[in-house]
Amino acid sequence: MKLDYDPEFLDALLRKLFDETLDSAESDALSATLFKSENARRHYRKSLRLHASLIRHRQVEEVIPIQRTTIRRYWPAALGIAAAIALLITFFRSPVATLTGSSAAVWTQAPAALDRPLELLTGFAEITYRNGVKVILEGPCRFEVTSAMSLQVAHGRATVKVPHAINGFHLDTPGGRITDLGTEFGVAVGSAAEGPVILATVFDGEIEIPAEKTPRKRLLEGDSLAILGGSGNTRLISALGNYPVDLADSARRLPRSPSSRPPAGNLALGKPVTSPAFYTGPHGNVFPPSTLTDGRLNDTGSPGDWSFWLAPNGESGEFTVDLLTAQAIARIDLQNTRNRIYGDRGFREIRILTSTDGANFQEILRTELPRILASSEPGVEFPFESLKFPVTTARFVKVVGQSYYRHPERLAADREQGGGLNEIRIFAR
Amino acid sequence: MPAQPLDPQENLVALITRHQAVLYAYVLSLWPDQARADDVLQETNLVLWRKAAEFDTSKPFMPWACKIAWFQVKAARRDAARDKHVFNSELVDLLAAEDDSNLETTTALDHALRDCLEQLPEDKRELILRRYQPESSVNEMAATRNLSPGALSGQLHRIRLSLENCVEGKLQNSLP
Repeated sequence: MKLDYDPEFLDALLRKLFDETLDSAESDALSATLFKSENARRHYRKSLRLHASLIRHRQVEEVIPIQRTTIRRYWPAALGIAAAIALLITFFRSPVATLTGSSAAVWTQAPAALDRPLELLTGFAEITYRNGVKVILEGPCRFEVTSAMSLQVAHGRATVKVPHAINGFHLDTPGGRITDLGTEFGVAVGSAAEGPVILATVFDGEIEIPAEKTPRKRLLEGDSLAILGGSGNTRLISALGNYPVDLADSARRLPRSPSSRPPAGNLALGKPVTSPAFYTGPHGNVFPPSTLTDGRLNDTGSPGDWSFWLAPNGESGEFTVDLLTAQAIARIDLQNTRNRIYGDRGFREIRILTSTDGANFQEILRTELPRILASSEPGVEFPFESLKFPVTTARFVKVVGQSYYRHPERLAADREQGGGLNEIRIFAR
Repeated sequence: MPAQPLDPQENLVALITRHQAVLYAYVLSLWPDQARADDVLQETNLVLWRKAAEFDTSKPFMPWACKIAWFQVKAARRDAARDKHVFNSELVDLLAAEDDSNLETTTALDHALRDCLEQLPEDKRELILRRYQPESSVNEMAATRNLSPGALSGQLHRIRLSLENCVEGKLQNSLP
């Protein structure tokens, strides 16, 4: 078939169009070419589709500004009065904010005063400001109460609830300032190779966040966004890779029942783990094997600092724990993952092998781990699967995934799923 | 786990969300200006949402959404009448009305592109992704690399062509 346009000429024009260097005469030439030939228009659409896809590749899912009906939940009047009385009582003697509760909290140093940088290693803590603002922090978290109206979070998760009478409370992060406009909202402050990554979800009311073009952007109830980069080069995206941003699993109250104490005698705790490969995506979506023995459970964390390990896309994956010395072991406890609210990853059938030299491995058992069906309440542990076997001497414990739990609605061929695990504990008995 | 049936509004939100890539490609084909196409897409989303009640769920979503997007392009062009447009309105109408059977595969193309980008040599991938960062310009990129803008533009063009071929191959293989 003879073409009714010159593809090389069109390519040269499209190249300038995509480079944003098309001048007025060239623009006319492009229009004329496209107008005349349907084949040219097909060629144009084909090249343009890739161009559009490349534009979207970095800013994955741009914000869809759908305004949801905002239902303001006013605080019950009785609570308001109680709060007012509490405020009167504490006004003259209390500091700006106090620690009003904690659950399974471990600190690097006793939180004697809040107006200095503090680090909550694990567990949950609640701080209450004199003006009634309540903050729930989840370890690992580094934060500081910087004034009566502000909190700085350098890393980790925080949920902020601000009474309606209070205006202008703000939370400072390495990615910029989040200003409350009468709200409850959650953040996960993390980082990636390219800079800070802040996830923000509005549970009620609205907040103001840094933005790309306009100086600030409003986020309404039900909205979630990731803020990338520091001041001056902010980017907002609503999905990290294929995962929409959503902090629905954040603690909005202090968990009532503290998690059970970690068991004594866990030989694997803090031990090195290697894995031939693990899931790495953009914006701190990395799930390295060191998370398997870090004592952190339950699919939580912040970008760049998640508590669980994930195999690469489409793979069941495997890892090896090095106990550093050969020891007698007789039990392994495993806590599966479901990849947070997304429910599309986790080990199914596994094999466990041991070795004393790291080269020759003997299989000691095969089993199928139960699926974690739903995210538990924050602070409530996912179940552990306890595997007992005859005492054996081992320095290396290898867990090899044979299959994984995929998303209930995705096809087996979809590569965006794979194996994963939260934690491995190894015991002498 | 059977999913709860969605109410019509939720269903529409799901449709709008799922078709963002396709709608963006469509709008950009009518108005090949990144910032303008962004704005028009956002407007289109809002209008689609407001017109939720008019959407006939027994009919396909895309023709309806494309028509609304087309009207949004026209409205936005009127608002920006003083700007020099790349295309005149006759060409926009021609492009908008023409059936594009490939449009529906745009989402698959997004996935294929990700794989193809991974297959590129590191330096080429870095170059093309840099070009698509916000605020990036060919002139500024050329200056920092001691290249003439034309030379850089040529490199980018070749990378785009190789991506186009790669993506095309993947799409053909994945089609039933």
